[in-house]
Amino acid sequence: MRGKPIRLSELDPNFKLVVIAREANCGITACFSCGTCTAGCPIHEVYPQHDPRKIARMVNLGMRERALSSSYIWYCSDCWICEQRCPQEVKFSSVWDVLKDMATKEGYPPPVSIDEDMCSGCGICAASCPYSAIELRIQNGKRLAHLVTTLCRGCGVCGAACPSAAISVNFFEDEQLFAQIEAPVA
Amino acid sequence: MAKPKVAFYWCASCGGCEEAVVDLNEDLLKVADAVEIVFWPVALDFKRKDVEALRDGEIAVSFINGAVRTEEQEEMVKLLREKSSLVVAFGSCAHMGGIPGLGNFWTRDTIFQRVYNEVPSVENPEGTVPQERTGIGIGELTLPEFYDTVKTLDQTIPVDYYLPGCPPPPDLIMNAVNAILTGKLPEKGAVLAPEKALCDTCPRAERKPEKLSIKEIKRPYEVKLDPEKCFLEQGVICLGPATRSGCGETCIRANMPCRGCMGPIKGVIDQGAKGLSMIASVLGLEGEDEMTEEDIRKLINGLVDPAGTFYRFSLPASLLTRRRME
Repeated sequence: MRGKPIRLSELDPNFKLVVIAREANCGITACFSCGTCTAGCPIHEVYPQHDPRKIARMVNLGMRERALSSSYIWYCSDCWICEQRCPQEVKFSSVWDVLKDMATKEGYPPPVSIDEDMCSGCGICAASCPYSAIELRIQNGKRLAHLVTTLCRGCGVCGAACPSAAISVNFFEDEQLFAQIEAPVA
Repeated sequence: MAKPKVAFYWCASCGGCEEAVVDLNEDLLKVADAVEIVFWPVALDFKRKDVEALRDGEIAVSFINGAVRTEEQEEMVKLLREKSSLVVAFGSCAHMGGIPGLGNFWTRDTIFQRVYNEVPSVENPEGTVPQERTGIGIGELTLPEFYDTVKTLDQTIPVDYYLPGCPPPPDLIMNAVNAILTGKLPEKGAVLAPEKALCDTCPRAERKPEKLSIKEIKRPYEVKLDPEKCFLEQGVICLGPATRSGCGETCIRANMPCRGCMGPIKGVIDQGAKGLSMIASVLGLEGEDEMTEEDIRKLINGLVDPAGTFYRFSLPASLLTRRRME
């Protein structure tokens, strides 16, 4: 994202209003980009590209397409340290929820994928998905998990639950998860 | 052309892997025709010095079963590694530590205390336990050291291929032997078995419910198991979703759940953790809002011996490796 020029013609001045229309009390327009959110974000520690301050700025500037198409909005782990620490009381949890919902509906689904070659059709993912975003479908006589991208919110429960190494969430491999554990304890 | 030389060796194991070789039935004769067996303690009278007399790399392949628990086993596998072009970890114990690997929940002292003093059928008033050195007047008797920690074969020597299973099924053994004889081997480090999870080939797969949910965990003896239904649906822990296929579903066909002997699916680092997260994901689903703390505790406590259940065959190879030493 860094270094790309912002083209005024691509901005959508109504973007922040759309967010506010869905979450009236989210307070996004109160953000003055102090960066307290990003400073406390544990995901930012590991993936500097995941930057709540930047996303908030994008919303206020109207950078709709770039905010919604960014895969980094899905990296949030819902800890809401940003929200607790924000001096302007921006409700990041609501903002993020709206952004994720808009992203999936506008054709930018979360980076979740099911490897059909590895899926054994056990159904653990479908049972545990809180959004009912995984359906079991019969394909060539075998039961396979199928992702309904418009329902998926990228929470990662399926990836953690899948015992067959068939689901990948947000490009996270075990190595990255280990790095996340090691980063704060090093 | 000289026949390729083959060695078999056993470390900490039950002997079932040796049975599996005999289970090749008539195929064993084909193998015996195609190769020259130079070492096989359980069946043939070769000694350590016969192995020492071989050139480095002279043995085409050594099939080593069992986990590494004693000094003797470590010495022998290191010797076989030197003398062998290929080493195959044969069976769950060599592959991941297996049942002997559960000893890593204990130490040498606590194991000796139990086995030589506390077991009800043992009478040992002097509390004698095996010693590495014992003076007996005319000299000294020695025993190999018994380690605190059980290791997998690849934690002891470099391993080229893995044949999983407790014991490995005959068809996978024959595939491996044929691949070695014809030189059609996959890349080094491969597990010589299918990559997908067992549910893929499970005979009960078609009758699986749309939504799995475990309302109460039951052990196999506590319930009359329906031979058609998915074990998880019946509340019985089955590690099929977290375990490699290729075993021929023998346990399932005998109406017993998968216990995980074939090890993790390709790409999974810790089979036990995967099993645990899988069960945690479907435990008490669709009713958790009405459950009290007490209900939840009761549901979770229904899982007797979680460490032994999820790491039954893989503790030494897991991220845990062993219980923390005091």
